[in-house]
Amino acid sequence: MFLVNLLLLIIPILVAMAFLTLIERKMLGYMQLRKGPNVVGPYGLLQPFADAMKLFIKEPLKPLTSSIMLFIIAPTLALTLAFTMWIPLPMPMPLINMNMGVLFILATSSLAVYAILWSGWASNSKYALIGALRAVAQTISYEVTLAIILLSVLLMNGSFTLSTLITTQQFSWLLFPTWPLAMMWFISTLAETNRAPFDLTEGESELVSGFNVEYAAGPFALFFMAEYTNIIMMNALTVTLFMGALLNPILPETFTLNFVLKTLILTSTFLWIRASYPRFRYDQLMHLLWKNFLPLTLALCMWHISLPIMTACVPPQM
Amino acid sequence: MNPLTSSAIYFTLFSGTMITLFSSHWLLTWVGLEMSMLAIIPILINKGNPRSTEAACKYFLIQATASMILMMGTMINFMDSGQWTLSNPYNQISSFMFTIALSMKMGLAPFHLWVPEVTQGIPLKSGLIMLTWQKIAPISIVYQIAPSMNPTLMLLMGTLSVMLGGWGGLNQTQLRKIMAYSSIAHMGWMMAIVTYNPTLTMFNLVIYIMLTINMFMLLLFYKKTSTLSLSNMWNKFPLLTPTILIVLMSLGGLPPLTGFTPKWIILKELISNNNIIFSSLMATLALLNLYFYTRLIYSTSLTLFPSFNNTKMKWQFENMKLTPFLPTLIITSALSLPLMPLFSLLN
Amino acid sequence: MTYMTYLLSMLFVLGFVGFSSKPSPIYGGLGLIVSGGIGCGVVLYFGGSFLGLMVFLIYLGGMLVVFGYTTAMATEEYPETWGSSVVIWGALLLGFLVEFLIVMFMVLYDEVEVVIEFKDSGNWMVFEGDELGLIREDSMGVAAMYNCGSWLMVVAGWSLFVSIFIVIEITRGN
Repeated sequence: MFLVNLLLLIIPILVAMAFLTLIERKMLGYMQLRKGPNVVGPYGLLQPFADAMKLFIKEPLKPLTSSIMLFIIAPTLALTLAFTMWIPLPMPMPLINMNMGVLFILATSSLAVYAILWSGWASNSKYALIGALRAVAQTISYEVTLAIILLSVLLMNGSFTLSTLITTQQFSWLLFPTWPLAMMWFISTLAETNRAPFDLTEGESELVSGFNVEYAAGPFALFFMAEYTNIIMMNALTVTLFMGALLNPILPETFTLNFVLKTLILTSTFLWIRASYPRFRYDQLMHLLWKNFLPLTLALCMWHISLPIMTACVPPQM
Repeated sequence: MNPLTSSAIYFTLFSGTMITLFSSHWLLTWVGLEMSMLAIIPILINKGNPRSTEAACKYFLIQATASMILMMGTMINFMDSGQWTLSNPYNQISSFMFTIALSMKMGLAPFHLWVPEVTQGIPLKSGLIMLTWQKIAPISIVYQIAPSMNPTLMLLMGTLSVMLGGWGGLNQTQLRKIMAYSSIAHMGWMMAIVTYNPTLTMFNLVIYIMLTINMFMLLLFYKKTSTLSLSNMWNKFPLLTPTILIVLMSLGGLPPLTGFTPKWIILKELISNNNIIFSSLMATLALLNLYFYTRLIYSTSLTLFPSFNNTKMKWQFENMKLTPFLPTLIITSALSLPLMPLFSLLN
Repeated sequence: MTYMTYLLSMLFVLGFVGFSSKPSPIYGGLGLIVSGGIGCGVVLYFGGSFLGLMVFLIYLGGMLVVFGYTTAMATEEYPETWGSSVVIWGALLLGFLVEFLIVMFMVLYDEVEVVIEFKDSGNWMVFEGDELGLIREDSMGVAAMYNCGSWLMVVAGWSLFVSIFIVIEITRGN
């Protein structure tokens, strides 16, 4: 039974991820006044499957001087972690209901850095290495603010449990009281997933494609899938944290519908941002985090610690 | 070093040892040890000299390993007794682990090899701190858990330490290494007696620290680090050459001087505990130490270095260095044997 | 439960054997990560979910990433893996052999006790403040520790603060 549940979680994620790649190309296409892929299947609907077929049938390359073990481990780890992060997400029923769900997600997403680092290092190519170093520095920097923002939000929730966030937001979205945090959170998730305008890892003019230059075929597809799964996951998390849907115990399907709709809207915002904004400069990226976001989040964290205590509105603790 | 940084670092160094001394909780004891270990690292490092960086690395590795073992012993002790109080562990394993960890920390015999290596690599002033102040914290822990330690083991390690401390210093020409070996030998004396009479350990530590500070102050005064250069120190400040003689003899434990006091009482205590063989062995092995001290004395004050000496008349110039502690230290490290009846108050 | 923990601790040691046979630093980091992750898993298994995840987050997500980062920058042209040198391979095999023998010994003589003597850290604990209440030992235990041992926190904070100074003092040039 557990296996069925697992598959019922993973397969829709995979399908969603596949269609996200399609919708990205379509949206970018229409934003640039051209059509996206429209040849394979009706409206190009079969394009992701064709891509997947092609990528997995192709011969996987491995550079002669690479460290094979890490070269293989890294993409596998990336996809595994991307799926693992979905486990505690309540939609409205999580696969495993964890007390420390948010902490689990944070821990797992911090582990995802290793996939990037190892893949870049194991390729034994300067472009890949520099791309990986950039990506890692960026990701772990933004993880700091992510964690502090989460902490401030969770102080209103009372525990690290994700499902209690639904109860907390029964009457009002947490977006309203914590909108500065939510803004910073959204931008940080963009940076955390290495999306445009923070996709400095793959600045074409400097780094070709970043940490995955040396990857082709299957392993490359794994990275690609991990990246897009992460995007959806991050947006789903944003929805859970800040724009919780209403859970009707008699009709839990409405929750799922509501939740998915918001996730989709946020995901398309990601694509919109990609179409609209130019890439950051690296030092500006770091300054944005360490000199703007971090002081602000720290101050707001203090605020969120002291205000509930001061007004005696501490949420029930676990 | 930046005065702000250096004051923070020295504060941590001293407060770390103080925390170890005052705490009755194993965790805080451990924290204190870690603090003083961490704080001494930048003091050990002499910028621009890779040898001192290497020495600091060695020191760090050894001390960190010892702290780990101490922590492990604490954990086992906690699992066994359910309390963190710094009291005598009833558990054999944790007691043994404490013994190992603390002997590593202070450089007792089977774990002594790092002491000369580290001391030789660092500046004299850091050597002074490392050989004196850094011994206080581990010995204070040993003092507190002494009754639970294995007497045979401590006696064996102590005797071994005296032996190796004497033996290792025999062929050395570097003064810092000689001081390190002398420290190993003294640690041996302290640890041999610790299960019988911990007060004597503390007493020996006080005397040892006093003598070592004195010796290092003299070396700092002359800026000498090798036996060879010792031989032209007479022309700088001739009055201090016999002082080095006295201090070294005292360090070796020759009868009318202060250094004889702890050795005497320790031997007596060992004999009254029926350890005649070990006590005679230790007394004999102390002669090895005395031998290499004598060699230092020989090159300090009994010979003229056979070389062209441009600065023979240097002693005429007025001495610009302030040595406020030196006279006091010299007198106490030479002449406090008659005060021995006072030490009976210690018990 | 016991066997799961037993299995995890075997893997834990395997990770340590892996990095103590001294391959290149980045592979050493890999071994550390495996062991660290499994160690946290053991803690989680005993119910210390907060402690386990926190250590996982800080140790693996923070410290070891920086370690991996630095080792990746100090890249060698021919990094040594476990298979690339006879010495490393031999050390690894020796480690495996020793672990296997110890495991066999423990299985044969039923001495799995040390591992399972830990207390369950996910318990509920009674506390007496103004009123009597129940809190979770694990996450609230942290708060209780800092509340009751506030001076310990001061000492720990000071040590961390000074260690930054020390590291900067050591690593900066003249």
